[in-house]
Amino acid sequence: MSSIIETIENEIRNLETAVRKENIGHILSIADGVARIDGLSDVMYNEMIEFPGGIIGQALNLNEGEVGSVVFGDISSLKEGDEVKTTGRLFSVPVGMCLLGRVVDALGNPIDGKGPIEAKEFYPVEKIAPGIIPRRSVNQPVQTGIMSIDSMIPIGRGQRELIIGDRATGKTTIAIDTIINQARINDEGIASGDPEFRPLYSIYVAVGQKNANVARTIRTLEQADAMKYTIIVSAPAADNPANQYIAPFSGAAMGEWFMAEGKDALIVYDDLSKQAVAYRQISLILKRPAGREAFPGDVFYLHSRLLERAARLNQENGGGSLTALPIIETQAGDISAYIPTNVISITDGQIFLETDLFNQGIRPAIAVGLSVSRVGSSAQTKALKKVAGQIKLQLAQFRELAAFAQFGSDLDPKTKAQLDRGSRIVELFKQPALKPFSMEVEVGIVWAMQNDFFDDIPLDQITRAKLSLQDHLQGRGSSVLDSIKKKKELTDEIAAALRKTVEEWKQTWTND
Amino acid sequence: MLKIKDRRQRMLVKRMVELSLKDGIPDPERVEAVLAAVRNQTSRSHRIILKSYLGAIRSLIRESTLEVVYAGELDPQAIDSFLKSMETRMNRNLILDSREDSSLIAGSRVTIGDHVWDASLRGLVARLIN
Repeated sequence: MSSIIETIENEIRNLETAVRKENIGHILSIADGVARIDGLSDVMYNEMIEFPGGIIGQALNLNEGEVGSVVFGDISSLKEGDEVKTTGRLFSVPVGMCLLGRVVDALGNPIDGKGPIEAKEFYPVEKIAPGIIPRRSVNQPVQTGIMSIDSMIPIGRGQRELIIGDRATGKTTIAIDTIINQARINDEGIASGDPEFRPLYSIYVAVGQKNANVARTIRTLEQADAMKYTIIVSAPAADNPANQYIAPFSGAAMGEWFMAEGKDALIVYDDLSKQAVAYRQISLILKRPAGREAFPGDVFYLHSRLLERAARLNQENGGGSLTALPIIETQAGDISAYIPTNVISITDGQIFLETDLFNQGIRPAIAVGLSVSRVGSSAQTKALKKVAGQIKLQLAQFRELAAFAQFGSDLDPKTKAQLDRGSRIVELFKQPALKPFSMEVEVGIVWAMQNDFFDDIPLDQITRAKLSLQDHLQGRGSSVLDSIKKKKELTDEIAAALRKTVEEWKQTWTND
Repeated sequence: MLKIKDRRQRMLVKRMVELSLKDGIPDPERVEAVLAAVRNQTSRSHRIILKSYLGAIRSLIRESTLEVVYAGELDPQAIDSFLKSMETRMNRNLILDSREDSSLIAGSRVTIGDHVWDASLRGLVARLIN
């Protein structure tokens, strides 16, 4: 018994009782998630500060005599005169594998009702992006499963590819399809036992969205069994602007952990226009000078420092990668607005979605002429590159000719052939949501198109023919698909076997 | 502190503050003299200047005040010796403001400007809870 008493006495003796120096301030005013604080002479830029009741904030404006801070969380309990303390720490969020399958808020707190997150590590939300030396060029693909993107606008691991378009043009669908396709590839790769297989984990950051939309996204990912490889960071429209501003940075910190551990991750920022609007609100309340469209002068830096954190590291630094798919919503297709031009110039390419194409039933509604991937082609699988090399050009020429052909009735045979081929490619690239194709199936279908196997099929039956060919390839042609998957290139032998399989399919195919 | 945009007015407030100090601490007599001097030269921005002056003096007093709050009894000599040691440490004169506050339960809490040294039981409990 005496030993128990001794143990407790020792514990009490060892208690930290030293006097602690603290730097404090008092709230002068608080409104719309922003507080003006008197004092805090020792506070550092971006330092986490502590409000009463465990509420935290971040110092953003260091003025003579006062500090401007954003407050994360419920500000209704805070009032003028409340004491605020510096913490000496940067704002950090939990990171690690324990977050996979979870839905968290902008601060990393779980909001899915699945209990607390047992994180062992925390990363600061603001971090300097990797420099030039630790990086290497993008050379591994991110298979989106969307045939038109994988063949014409390929994305590589470590790339930043912007998805841009008006409201309701399928921007989020492309991102969700990509996440679902990664889960499918991860499942297959892990099941294959291939030691060189590198799973791609996903982080979906929802900024300023309706809660119902976020719930629908979660449900979609759960139904596709993709949540086990995914983290969702949610700062919905009802959240305060500070949370909407910081959520993409929190997601980036979570993604950086995977990259630092030598793993690959994909992060979707849905969407950065709403984050910019939240940042504009904060900046205006902080009385920062307003610039174009009332955005503050550093809104470019807001997005550039976030997107620069996506990188592919070299082997000496673990070889991990963080691929970013930022989303920007345009107004009436205006890509020359302030935020769209900023993000276009920061990223390594963009997928531009058009309302007209969407309304014509061309989905994904990708505008080929305006979409580009600046670094992804070097990451494209050799097989896909071989079969899809000319498609982008053919489709761009088709769009131009189609507009021109509206004015003339007599067309020369060459133009007619180009129009015919173009309209078939358009039909072939139509793809319903949540139905990603594997790379080898994409190769098979595009190869069949390029080798004229779809030329005698009526336009309205191309989609049916494509699905029929997919079934045939996955059934009788599975050995060919396996070879493409394994070698990742289209050798003469594989091409011959593919031709044989597609010819077999063509013999069974009948037009309605 | 109220911000003045006009440079001349800002310089005036700065000069008023400088004239109000004695050994680095705002002195009541000097403040009275400064106020009397500006009273005779009122201008349209007189109120703004006085408000800015008030803010600056208030901030200076806060930064020059050694506030010692304690629970229980504290020897006055100990407080004086503490004031001297703090003045040596801060290398400037300080105004002492000591008072008892039973809500600290035990120990003391020392404040200079926005720096706080908390050695109270209430502070310790608060830290343990956090």
